[in-house]
Amino acid sequence: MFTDINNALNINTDFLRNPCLIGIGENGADCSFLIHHFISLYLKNGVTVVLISFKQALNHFNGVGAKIGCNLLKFKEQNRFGYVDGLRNLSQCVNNGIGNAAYSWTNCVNDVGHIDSMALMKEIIFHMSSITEKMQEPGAMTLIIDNITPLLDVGMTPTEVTKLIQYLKAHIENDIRGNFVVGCYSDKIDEEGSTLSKYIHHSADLFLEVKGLETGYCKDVHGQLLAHWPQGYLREKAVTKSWQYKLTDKTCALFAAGMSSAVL
Amino acid sequence: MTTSFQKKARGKVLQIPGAKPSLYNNQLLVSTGIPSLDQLLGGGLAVGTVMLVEEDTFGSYARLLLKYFCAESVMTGHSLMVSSADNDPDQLLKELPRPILDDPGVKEEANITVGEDDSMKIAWRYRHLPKFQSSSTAVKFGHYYDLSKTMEDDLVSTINVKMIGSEDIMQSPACNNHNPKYLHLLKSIQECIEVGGFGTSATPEKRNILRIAMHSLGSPLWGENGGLQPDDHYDPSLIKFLLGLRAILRSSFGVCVVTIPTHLFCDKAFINRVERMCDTVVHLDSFVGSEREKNPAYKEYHGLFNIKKLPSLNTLVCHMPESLDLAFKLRRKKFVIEKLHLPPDLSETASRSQEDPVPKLAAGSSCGTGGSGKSKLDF
Repeated sequence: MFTDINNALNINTDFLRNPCLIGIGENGADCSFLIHHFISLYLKNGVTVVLISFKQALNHFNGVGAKIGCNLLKFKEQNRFGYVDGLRNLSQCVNNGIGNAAYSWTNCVNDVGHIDSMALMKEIIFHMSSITEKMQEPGAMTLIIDNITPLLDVGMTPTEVTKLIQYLKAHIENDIRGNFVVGCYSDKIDEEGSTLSKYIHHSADLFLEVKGLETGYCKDVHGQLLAHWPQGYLREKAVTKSWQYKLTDKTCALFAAGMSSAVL
Repeated sequence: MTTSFQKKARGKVLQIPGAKPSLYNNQLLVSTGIPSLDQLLGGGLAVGTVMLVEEDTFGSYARLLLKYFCAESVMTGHSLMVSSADNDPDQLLKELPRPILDDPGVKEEANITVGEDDSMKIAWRYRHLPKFQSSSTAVKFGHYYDLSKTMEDDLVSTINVKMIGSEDIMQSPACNNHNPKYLHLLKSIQECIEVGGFGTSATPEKRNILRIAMHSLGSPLWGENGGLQPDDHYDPSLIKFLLGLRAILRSSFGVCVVTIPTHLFCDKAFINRVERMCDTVVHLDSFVGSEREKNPAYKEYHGLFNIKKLPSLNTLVCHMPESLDLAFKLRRKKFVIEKLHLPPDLSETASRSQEDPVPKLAAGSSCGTGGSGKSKLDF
């Protein structure tokens, strides 16, 4: 949990308990620090977290969690954290069974090789419920998907992926009353990818975008973070705020553009 | 008398020859065979990851990178797997550079520390700046090679090499949703890992690392058409293969370097997807055949070296190199990647030509993108 980000986004317990969808878009810079932030934020505030990652293995999250002060293994033992190895499961099911996943999603793929979004949703809900069953007392829950764009990359159409997100969002908001955090790539060149990221941006309650700097690579400022709160049905102007950030080994520092400590 | 001091045990450190733990995170690194590249990558290639080398127009420098990788495998005793559809993989192994052993020149360089602080009388303003070092000193990890000679055959045969050439992949059975050649290669990799005991859950007597070198994957001989099927639909086979490769390598002691001729792919979005599927991505941009070859600013170098992505494994932030303005040069005996620095402007007259000799370098990386700004400041 990075205090700078919490203060900047005005995140309080109220925000955490109400069901909402948080979208994270990545465009030229690595957004994984936000995923680590949300994992530790929810865990430290008593919310159970189910993480599905299509990008990294569990060891990576454990390693980073240990550095930022969030012991994921301990939370896993307490049944407050569940991990679904999306990378291995997905790769095994799209590569005709080659792989060594513990649990494969083979029934999500039909003969022609297309992934069925309904079947995939059922698998994900099955994983989520198997973790919530083990919880001693009922509590709030969050589903975090590290990055949903690999599903597009391996051949699912944007329609199918948006259907999946819509089903999951409906299930989480209505049945579980939890939060849903989705990461995606928002690349302007990739038409399908940008369709998907626009959909997530439109349906999210908070959309965070991580971009590179317009002036190129810099060792002291690693990128820009933009936060957008679409106001929904209220007739107020949607709020957008932006900061620049620098990542260190254990934390993330946010500052206004041009206020980096290297410059001042 | 025993003290109460206890060394903080960090768990048993795996000792595999040719691999060292990273200074920044808890990651095992192997050398690429090129010490200057190892430095840029933050010490070396992380075991369990995939490095993508986007080939230059004629592929020769990418092939050279792969030869260094294979030569390093021979020197460290790691098992090797080579695949190539364009040439015979055997041919690649016959052209490995010879290692330089017991070279007194290398040892001397290693002994020179950052020199005595002799005070400068004229250029005293620059005293505090670091000395410009064009080559790395004191290399204990990785080897130097001599490109003018080839490695002896009996040295190459000291390690286990598995080769996959075009005859092997031609025999793969057809399937309707995936490129059968990629599937065959993926299956061979998985079998090699299982048989050789390279998986993280396997317990062989002596741990070793498997290096996988894939030459020119995704070339037309693999049946690849830039992510498009004959009927112009999207063909995700290469993406699926890379996803499967990364998934298998994450739970094994293997490291892969794959070169892909991305200049043949028309769809830029497809190239971005391929890059997203790999952990480390570098791009070789050689000057051969373009007008930059005649550019005086580039006369010492043979091409630009772009680092597009660096992995951040077990850490929040990836290794940040000093600068992304890198270029490579191929000398008679070695291949070096270094920071691009312009030669001194030794023209006698003070006038400058109309055109600025160095065009704006496109820096694309995981941490910042080059904007669409103007190249010259117009006054």
